[in-house]
Amino acid sequence: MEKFRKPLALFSTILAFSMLASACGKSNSNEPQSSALSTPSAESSAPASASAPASNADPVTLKFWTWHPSADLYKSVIEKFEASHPGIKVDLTVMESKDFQTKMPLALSTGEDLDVVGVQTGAMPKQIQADLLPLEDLISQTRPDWQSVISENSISQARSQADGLKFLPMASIGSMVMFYNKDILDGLGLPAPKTYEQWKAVSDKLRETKSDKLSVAVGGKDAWIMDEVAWTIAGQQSDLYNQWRYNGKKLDGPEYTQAAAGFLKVFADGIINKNDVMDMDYTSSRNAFTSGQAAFFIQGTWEANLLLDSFRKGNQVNINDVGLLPIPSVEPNGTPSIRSFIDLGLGIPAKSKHPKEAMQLIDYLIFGEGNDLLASTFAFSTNKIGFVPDASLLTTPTAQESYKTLSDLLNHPSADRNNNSPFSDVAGQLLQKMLISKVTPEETAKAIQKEFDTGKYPNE
Amino acid sequence: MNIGLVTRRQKRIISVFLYAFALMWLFPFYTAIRNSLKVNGIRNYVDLFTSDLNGISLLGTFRNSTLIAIGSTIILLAVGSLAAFAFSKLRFFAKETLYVSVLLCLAVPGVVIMIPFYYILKNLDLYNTLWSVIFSEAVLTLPFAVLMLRNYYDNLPPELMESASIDGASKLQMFNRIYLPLSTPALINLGVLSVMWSFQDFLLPLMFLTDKSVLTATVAVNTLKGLFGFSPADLGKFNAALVVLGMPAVVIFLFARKYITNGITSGAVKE
Amino acid sequence: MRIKAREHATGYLFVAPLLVLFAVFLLYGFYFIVHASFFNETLSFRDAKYVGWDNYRMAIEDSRFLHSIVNNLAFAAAAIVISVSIGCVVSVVLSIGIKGSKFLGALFFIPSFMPLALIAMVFSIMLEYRFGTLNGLFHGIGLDFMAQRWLSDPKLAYMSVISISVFLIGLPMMYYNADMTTIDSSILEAAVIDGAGLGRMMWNILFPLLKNAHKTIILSTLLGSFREFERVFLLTQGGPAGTTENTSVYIYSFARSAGANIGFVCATSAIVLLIALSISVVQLLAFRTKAGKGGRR
Repeated sequence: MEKFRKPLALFSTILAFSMLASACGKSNSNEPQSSALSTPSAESSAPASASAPASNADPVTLKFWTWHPSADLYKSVIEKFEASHPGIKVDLTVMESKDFQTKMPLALSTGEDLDVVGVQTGAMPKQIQADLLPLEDLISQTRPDWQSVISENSISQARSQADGLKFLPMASIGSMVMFYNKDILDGLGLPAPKTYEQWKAVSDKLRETKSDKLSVAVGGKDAWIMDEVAWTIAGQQSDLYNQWRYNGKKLDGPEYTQAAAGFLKVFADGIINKNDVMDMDYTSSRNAFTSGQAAFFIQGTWEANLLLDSFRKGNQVNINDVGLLPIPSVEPNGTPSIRSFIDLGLGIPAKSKHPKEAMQLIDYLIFGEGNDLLASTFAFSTNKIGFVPDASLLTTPTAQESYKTLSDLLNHPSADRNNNSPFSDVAGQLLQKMLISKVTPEETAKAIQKEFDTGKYPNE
Repeated sequence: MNIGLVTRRQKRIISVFLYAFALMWLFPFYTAIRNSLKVNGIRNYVDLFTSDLNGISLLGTFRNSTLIAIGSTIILLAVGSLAAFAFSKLRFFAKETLYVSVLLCLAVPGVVIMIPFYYILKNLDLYNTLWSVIFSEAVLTLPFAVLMLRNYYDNLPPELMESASIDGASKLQMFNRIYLPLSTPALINLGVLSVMWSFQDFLLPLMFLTDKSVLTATVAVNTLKGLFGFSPADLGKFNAALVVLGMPAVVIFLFARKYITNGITSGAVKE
Repeated sequence: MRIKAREHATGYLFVAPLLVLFAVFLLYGFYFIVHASFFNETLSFRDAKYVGWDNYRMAIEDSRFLHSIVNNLAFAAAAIVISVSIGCVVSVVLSIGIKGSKFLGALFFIPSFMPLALIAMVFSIMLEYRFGTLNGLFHGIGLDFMAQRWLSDPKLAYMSVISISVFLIGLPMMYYNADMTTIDSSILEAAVIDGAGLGRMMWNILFPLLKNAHKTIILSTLLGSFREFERVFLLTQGGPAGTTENTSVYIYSFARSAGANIGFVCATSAIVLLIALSISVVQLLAFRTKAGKGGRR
């Protein structure tokens, strides 16, 4: 008991104090501590110099939230920006993607002091557009010729996502592609698979040789990844995704059923071992690949920096050579492809006190040098016309060829990767169900359509 | 309760079973520690504290966790003891109805109340401040605090009250001078328990704290995992962070087990 | 006996801080849930559209939601069985004074002091099929057949979620330890003289004597079951394919998705709240039977 004297004394003092407060606070009975409450500890409030141009006056700190690429990759880019834009500082927060999907819209609607926010295309722009500034005028002032810097297609896609131009796209990304560990394929004496049979040969040989390596690493625990894989397989046949997303085509017809059956076949043929992947999430599947435990890794094009030797060395990824291919067509008559769309949008919250400075950062990251720097990390494919990555980064023939494959895939997508992410999680769950139970592809397609019809998932 | 009821042989058999059970027990600990040494060995721990994790300092997140724990505990003890005293020793209109209503709120699940809390905190301008979690945790723990402290005050003899009122002390003085000091054991139990619960909390800080400067340790470690560019080196750090997250529990066990046990069991059914 | 107005006022002054907090957060919160559940709106709370009982209809028609309620109860039932059996036996056995019981006690207690989120994250690493340490151990000692899909086989995934309850028996043990100190050891001595063996004594005498602890554990586990979130969310994400999803994970998944209809989230919340409150009423009744005014010890 003795040794608790001090804390006790403290407690009782505080108690006594709070009682006093509650006694005195009788008259303003609504919220006794209300004065103490309103000091947000998170506030890093920049001096409110309104929209005065940033010159040698007080520096403006831009609060910038996004989810991609990583803080490490942004670091040097932002340092350069700050050096060339004296008077502007950038306070960057990078979140995990799912986290960002929840928290950024929340922060916008609570009036958090943000100046630049990443915008995920798909479901998000419609949800947050009322909190974003229209950018048309701002960008025209900063860079009058902006429309000729990035591709026309990317601009029209950005305009279609919200009422008016509410964000500008840093890049286009696509999914799902397949990264391969060339070391493992070489060890097996097999080529990088262009056809379904060649793909199957890899997993068969791994099994025969009782190898401890995994054939395909993919995040089977994350439902959205399963959904994206199924859509990629659907894309080998048609642009069903666009028809569903924009024209109200149903998913319980033969097209999606075929995609679901193809998806199931990849597992049934043992190419993807469901035992191995159904409890792997994004991170653990990526880890299985980067630690050299898997021959293939299925994920989006945003992981393309795995192609770079410099990136692998810097991140302790001990694979000599990594390549990229589309997922081979399950049906012989299909075309291997991906869905792609603009992504990594940047917008300015309507409540930002420094829209002009914010636009300078956006300009730098989308039209200026910053975009080139980031694009050279291969964490996305830029929309800038005529951008050529530093060829010296692609150190192996595999890497060079893979980069070409990547560009082709992104330039000729089967459909838009304009995701309806809430529904993606649900559809993915039904696909998982097909894998672990006796539900047929037909029933799965029906169940997915039925779930969609409940109206719980807006599809604007 | 050791009364020599058990023969030596029985003891030995039981020991064997118990130790086998304990071995199973140790396995998660083993998993955590082994993984934390993967890739870069002990350097994972060093890196964890010396470098930022995606721009977040782990020590900073522990500081936030501590501030939240202290803040919510203070509010809990202050508000809880006042109310419990009134429910126990004072008479006022609809007292029992109020008390029962408060106890009913023991059942309110965090996820369910999350959206309204979000809306309320947003309008109080508290969203994304440590206060948001401090208040939410205090409100959700208050029913237990009132239950526990009222039980305690009920057991204090009413004669204290009578003798004090002869002295002409006001109710507030009575509480301050007599009942509050007498209830310190219960307050300590509750306080320690509340600090522990606050450290364990995951959902509320996950929902209400978005800015990297206010993240708590548990949430920061969890969100670390899904970040883009998570490399093998980061995996080592992540696993080391898991072990570090478990440390406060060991500290609590070593220094405050008694208070936790007393606190938890004082909410038990008794006859 | 009449109470003076002044006395009323004093009483209310003492409970005022509590009432203010509850009015601001809980009372208003409940109103908010019920009110919002009749609208179609997003988290921005703009352009709310009145939709009547539609959200409730969608909730009740969703088999995933009903399944999650059943899961809550199933996990609670399993936790109760584990607490009352393993928790009780371990508590008793630790009290008969075997060597190292202090160390063992510590071992069994410490997990209950840790964040559940941490335990779930460690278990999810440990139980992975391909790279998990548990299967690694089984392969290592030649028990290959024991290496199972702990998280992706629906039945085993249930077991995995439940196994965390075993890891958390520290909590029920606290109740049993407290209750055992109140047992009159002469009863046990008398039983020994009658020639009762250890097993019989345990089941016929000790177990019934601990009925208060049983009761507390059952009620608090039931009550806690609707609060459970981290254990499922961080271990299985409700998977495989939603098999282990509980109400918290279900509601959370809708609350966090982009552009979600918050009215629907509130309708499910209202239903879950109603169930949780009814369990709370049962608990209160159980408390009240013996613990009338001033009757508490």
